[in-house]
Amino acid sequence: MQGIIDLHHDIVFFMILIIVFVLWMITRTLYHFHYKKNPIPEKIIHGTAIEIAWTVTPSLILVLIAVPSFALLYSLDEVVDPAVTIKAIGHQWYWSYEYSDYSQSDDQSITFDSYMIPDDDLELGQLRLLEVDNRMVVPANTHLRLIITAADVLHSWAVPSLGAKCDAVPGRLNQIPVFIKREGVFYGQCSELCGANHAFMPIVVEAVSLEDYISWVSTKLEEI
Amino acid sequence: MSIRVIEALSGESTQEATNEAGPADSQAAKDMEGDGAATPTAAADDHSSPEMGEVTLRTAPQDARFPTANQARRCYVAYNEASSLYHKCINEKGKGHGDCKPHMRAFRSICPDEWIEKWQELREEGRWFGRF
Repeated sequence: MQGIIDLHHDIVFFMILIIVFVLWMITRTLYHFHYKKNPIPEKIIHGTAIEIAWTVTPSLILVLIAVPSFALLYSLDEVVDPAVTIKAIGHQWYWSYEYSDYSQSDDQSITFDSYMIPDDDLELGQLRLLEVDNRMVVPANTHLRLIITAADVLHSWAVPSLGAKCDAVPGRLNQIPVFIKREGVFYGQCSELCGANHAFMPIVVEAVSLEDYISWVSTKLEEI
Repeated sequence: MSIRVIEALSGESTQEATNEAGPADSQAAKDMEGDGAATPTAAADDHSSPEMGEVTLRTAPQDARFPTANQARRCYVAYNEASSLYHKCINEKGKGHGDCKPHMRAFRSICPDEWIEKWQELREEGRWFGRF
């Protein structure tokens, strides 16, 4: 996510310079094209040198943008050896989460469904269409591996504030690395049309301290 | 209630498994051991108190044989490898031996429960298409 933010800042900086330059050219042209101040406009048709310049320069700029962009694209695929693996499975129309790192061979993993809280059941201060009954709890400042898949049709697991979006495809286990830099609650929504209630299956990630996470896992293990 | 979770994830099975499984698994085992020194495991043990139970933060490491985003193949291969190791163990030690259980755990972090249950049903029906 930090890589995405940094690339965005770098590109926007140069983009603003280019925008100011282009707008200045356009404004200047319109201003000097006044029918009284400039009754006989120039009729310049060719200008080989300038044409080459204004073709090659934008190409060079694009190449310069492409270099860090590709570096980021490939680095997003790398998964640093994680400490936690969580499976997010899309259903019609809810997400289910499985934490299987803590199960013995025949024991069930920690698994629960995450349904949206309907409007009528919202409490004061809760966000409409975004809150869920069981949040996905993760430790902050820990490398996580998220495995996204679906049980029926295509879904997509997206949490914009974490820079995460990954299609949930039945029969496919898409792996994405996630690292949350602070404790907090992060919201997202299903991002692939999946039927009537596609808009009503949100995602809530709650990043907590390591101690809180361990106590949450212990509680969940006792419930199995 | 004190909860002690014993992990034996991919690559980190018993010594005989490491010897028999071939270069890929032993490489993964080495990775696992290398990670054991530096992972949040230590931090987790520091933070977890005896009253809460002992939960170790460890999971399957990266498998270099499957560098892509789609880990479906890895899940299937890990399940089959675990099955073969489990059967070897059963053949050597006899059925019901407690030591064989860790082998069946290596794939749990990667494979969805639904897939494992489906394969389990196929086994029970006699329709399992894997080798073991």
